[in-house]
Amino acid sequence: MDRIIAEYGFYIGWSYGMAAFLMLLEPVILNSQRKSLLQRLRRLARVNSADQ
Amino acid sequence: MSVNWFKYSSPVSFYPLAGKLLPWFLWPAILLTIGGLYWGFFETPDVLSDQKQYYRIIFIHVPAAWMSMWLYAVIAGWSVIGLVMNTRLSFMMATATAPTGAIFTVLALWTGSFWGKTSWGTWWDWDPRMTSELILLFIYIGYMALQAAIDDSRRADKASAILAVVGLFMVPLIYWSVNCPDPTQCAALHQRSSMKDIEPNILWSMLIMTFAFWSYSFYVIFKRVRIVILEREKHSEWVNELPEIKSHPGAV
Repeated sequence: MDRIIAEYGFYIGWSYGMAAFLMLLEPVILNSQRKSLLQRLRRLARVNSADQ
Repeated sequence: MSVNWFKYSSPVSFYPLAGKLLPWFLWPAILLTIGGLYWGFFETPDVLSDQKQYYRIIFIHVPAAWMSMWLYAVIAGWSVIGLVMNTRLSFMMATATAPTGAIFTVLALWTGSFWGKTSWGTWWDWDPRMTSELILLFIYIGYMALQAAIDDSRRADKASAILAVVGLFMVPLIYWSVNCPDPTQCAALHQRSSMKDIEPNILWSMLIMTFAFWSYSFYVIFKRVRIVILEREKHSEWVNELPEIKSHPGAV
């Protein structure tokens, strides 16, 4: 493994690093989108309920 | 016991089902990634033909490229179902699949570029497969841009579905772009290869990583489709009755 990193760490690191970054970022963004959407929907539900 | 699959073609039924399925795809994705990378880095030869350690980029490059094509075919499939049967969920599934497909296309191009620099000495070449994969990325971007550009979601769905179906020709084109009858006569850097010529450990690692990416795709697509469903059905009664909205302390 040390030899792999020493010889080709740059290429392997940037390839695997980008894969890890994108594949971890996607669920994080989705969680954040869902959280803000749920907050919006709760507010909407409160307004609808108050109107009634 | 028979299952009424049509029941799940409704967003109301599919929303909780997608939520329940999330851990069934997340854990296989994590475990298969760990297993595939372990096998790929520790159980495979140090040298692949004339390539040294950097050939190990193959374990993400090839599965990412496969997923980019497969997910596009899935989008086109959902689009056809949506256009023919006019089902809302089909369009929602297609919408939720596109960003993940685009990410895998970026990943295939990015990793291919790094691999290309080490093996061919160039970051980029207008080789038929690289060019067609780049065009696939533009089609993904076009699909998402078209959806975002039209306010009415029903019209946006139909317009982008037509684009997805028309763009489907890229998938076989990418696949056959290396099918050069005489490699010495072709400018292509990618050459045709056969599964049976690949060293078994390398092939297994690649296949395990493909299943890992496949599970990951299901996980994020189901996660995203739940957001798309909530966004589009926000004025429906059933959304207000959901426990995550109704039973929240802030809600009345």
